[in-house]
Amino acid sequence: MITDPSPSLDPWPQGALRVVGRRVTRASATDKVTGRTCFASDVALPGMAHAVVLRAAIPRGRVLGVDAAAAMTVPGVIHIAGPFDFPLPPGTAYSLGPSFRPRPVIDAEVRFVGEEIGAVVAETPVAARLAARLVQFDYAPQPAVLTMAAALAPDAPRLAADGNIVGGGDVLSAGDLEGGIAASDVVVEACYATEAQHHNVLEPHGCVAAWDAGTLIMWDSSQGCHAIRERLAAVFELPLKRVRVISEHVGGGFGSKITLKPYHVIAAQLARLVGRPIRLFTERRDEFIASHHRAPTERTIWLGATSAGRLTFIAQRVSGQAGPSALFARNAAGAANGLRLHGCPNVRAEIRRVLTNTQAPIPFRGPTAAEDIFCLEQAIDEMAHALAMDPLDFHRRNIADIEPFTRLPYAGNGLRACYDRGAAAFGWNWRPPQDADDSVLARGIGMGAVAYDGTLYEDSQATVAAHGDGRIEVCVGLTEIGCGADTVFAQIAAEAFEVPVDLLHTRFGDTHATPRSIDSTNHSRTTTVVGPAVRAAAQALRALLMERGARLLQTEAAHVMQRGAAVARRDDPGVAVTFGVIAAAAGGVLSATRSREAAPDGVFQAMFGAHFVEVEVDRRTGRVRVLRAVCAHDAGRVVNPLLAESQVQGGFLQGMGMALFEERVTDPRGGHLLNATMWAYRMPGVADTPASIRFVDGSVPDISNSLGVKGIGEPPLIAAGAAIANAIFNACGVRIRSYPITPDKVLAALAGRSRA
Amino acid sequence: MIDSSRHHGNHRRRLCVNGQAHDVDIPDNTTLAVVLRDMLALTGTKVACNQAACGACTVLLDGRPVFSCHLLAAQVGDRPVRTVEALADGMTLHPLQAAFIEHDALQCGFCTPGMLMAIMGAGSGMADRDDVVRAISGNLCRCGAYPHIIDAVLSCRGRAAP
Repeated sequence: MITDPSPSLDPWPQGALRVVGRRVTRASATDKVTGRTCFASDVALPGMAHAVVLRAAIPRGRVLGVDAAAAMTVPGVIHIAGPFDFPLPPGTAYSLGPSFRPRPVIDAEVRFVGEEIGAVVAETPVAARLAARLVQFDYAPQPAVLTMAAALAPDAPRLAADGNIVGGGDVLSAGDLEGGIAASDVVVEACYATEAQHHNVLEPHGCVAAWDAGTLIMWDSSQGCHAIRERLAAVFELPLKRVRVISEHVGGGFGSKITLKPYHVIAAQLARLVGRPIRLFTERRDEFIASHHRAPTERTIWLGATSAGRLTFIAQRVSGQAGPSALFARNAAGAANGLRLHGCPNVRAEIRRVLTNTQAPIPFRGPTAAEDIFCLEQAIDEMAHALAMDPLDFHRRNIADIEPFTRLPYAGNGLRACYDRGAAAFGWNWRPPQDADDSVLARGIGMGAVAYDGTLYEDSQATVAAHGDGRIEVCVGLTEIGCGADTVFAQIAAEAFEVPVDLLHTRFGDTHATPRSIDSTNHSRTTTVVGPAVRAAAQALRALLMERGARLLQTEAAHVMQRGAAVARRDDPGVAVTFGVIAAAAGGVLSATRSREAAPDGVFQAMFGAHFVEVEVDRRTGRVRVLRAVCAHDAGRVVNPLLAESQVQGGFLQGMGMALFEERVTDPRGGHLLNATMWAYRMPGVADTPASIRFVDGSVPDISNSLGVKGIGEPPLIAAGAAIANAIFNACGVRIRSYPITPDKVLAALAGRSRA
Repeated sequence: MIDSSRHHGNHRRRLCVNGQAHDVDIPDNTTLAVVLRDMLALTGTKVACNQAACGACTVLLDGRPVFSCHLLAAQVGDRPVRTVEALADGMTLHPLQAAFIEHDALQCGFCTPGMLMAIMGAGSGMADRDDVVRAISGNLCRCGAYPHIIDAVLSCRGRAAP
């Protein structure tokens, strides 16, 4: 249901307000520290059976036959399905968009190692896993392309009729590139690469699916109950009211749990087939090989600048690994956010999304932007070095006035504030790289900036309700993925209501109990999309309570005022009626549902930030340690500095993982991931954590919405990588352009330089 | 024919969990995590990797932290097991839990029970940041809450022993 936007509300004044802008503790924290929080993977239904997905062991080919005889003898096995006997749901296909070829969720065609080719249902998870190992598949393998280089080779097998570059390629451009090249005094050119990054959410993907009198009920570990519901309804050809998705808290998403995935459809279909609730959660190895990842990318960047330090052009040639079909190709590579970061009028990026027999990329916190800006901000640092200029000074000379593609002004651009406040907090005192120094431990500092496109408007509804027992409930249709949606909307409503935040409870995560506030929690936009709807609903409910309260007090609305959580007579404030009593008189609940306000015209919303980092490089081992970081971010208005600090620290650490550690080891012939475990795939642990990751609020007023808010979820990851790489260069004079910057690369670069 | 019951007998075992004795029929191939979660409905203990690599399933066995996903229930014997559910005293939170809330030492919350139990198992002698790092170096938090976890634990110094 799309609704008309509400009229825009009056903008909130600048600065911290009564509740908004305060360090309110996380609403769900008590349940989380006592083990009471119910995640989808904690749900157990009577009569529940357990499912395991069978996955392809070859990268490309066809399943010719399935032998399940041995597996069927395992005690407790209920059902085994392969590609030839899995009845398709009525919608017949798992399809994410109207323009894509429908494809069964369990198919005989194999396009990557780990693709879904069957499922086992058993009484226990152990029996299901044991049986799964005994199912034999007969394959007709076909030649596969496992890397972008292999896919682009002249004699490569074609994965699509029009070749292995999706749509033949894509170009982003603005301004006059030739003019920019002519105007440049200095040009730098370099090649960079980023590696795939696995989300590695702690709670695996999965769900419990049950049918109740024709209604599908799913407890799902996803980022968006309403998005999953809508797509399940489409696949199973059910009216929306016949699908209920419950997805309240989720043990990590980071982008991997936005969309409908094969497991949803498989679990729901198996539940219907065996007539019992099905529990299907992915094992860790399958999380690695078949829950999607951030795409590996390669790019060449050319920058031009005047000798006075003004950028004259940015050109890029980018390739990203797109997986086996065009379905998720847009997640393979991008360049727009890097091109809008600096005030450079002449920009161009040629983007190739390359088909491969690997799992497809899916958004990962700052999708395509992290890959892009990890590289671009190294190139910017290289340019500053070529100009013998402090990189902070170079950044300050290139602040954007307008967004280059729409040529609209930003609704707010806090880059200068981020540079100034971040540098001051860090104690930025730049000096050139110490390449002559040969001490064992080399220290250096580096910086990197970020711009990330925000969301000005999306349809959203929220409800605020007063209950007879005195509770005020904020009801929002979204999933809480750890960002604090359980807390910030209560703050926003409490602000609008002028009551203490403790009186507010937030209800979310159940499509049958909430309005549709957002499809899923992603793109750092939940607060900016849903917040204005919550404020509007809270204001409407407040007016309703005043009106009803006045009636109960036998006077007119003009003659009453709010006193705490009660309505009182102006002429005799001792005569009052509480919100709870007003709600009870209205039948127990009094509520207001409102749509989000309209967006302002003629502006572009983007988040900005700048990171300042100090590293230590061990010249003997090549090991890099991040000693401290200052992360300045422009979020428009920080609703909760405590939770924002958590987001920023976590984002920085995930970016540090991508910059220094996280790397696949793949068998180059068979396409099997060899480090599909949590110990062999190296992620940041507590021992890698810098002594200090300090969040600095670099927000400036933003006119995107009446709350003045934008996001803060993704930019802290995006800005981390180049700042670290630039600090390594500053420490020891070596430039490592291929992420992750592992000790072997550092040692090789140091050895190469000493030979030079 | 493969018959798991031939290789793995069911045995009635008495487990002492959170101060309470439970008599349960447990197949020999069952981990402590499965018993806690699926048989005793103590779902506060999480299983994230099932590879003994992430620490989300950490519980205390005889006061020491163990990965319950890689400990067979049959190995527990009569040693007491303590899970996150037993950390608070009724409605009164343990000081460590209160510190986690105050410092926002969690985001998605999936690693939190394991983190808490690993810290509890490290004892009360944690003097500085390095001690905290050692205590939870076997626990992964993908949200990256480590800085706030360190803050929370250090804020508990000198308070009630675990």
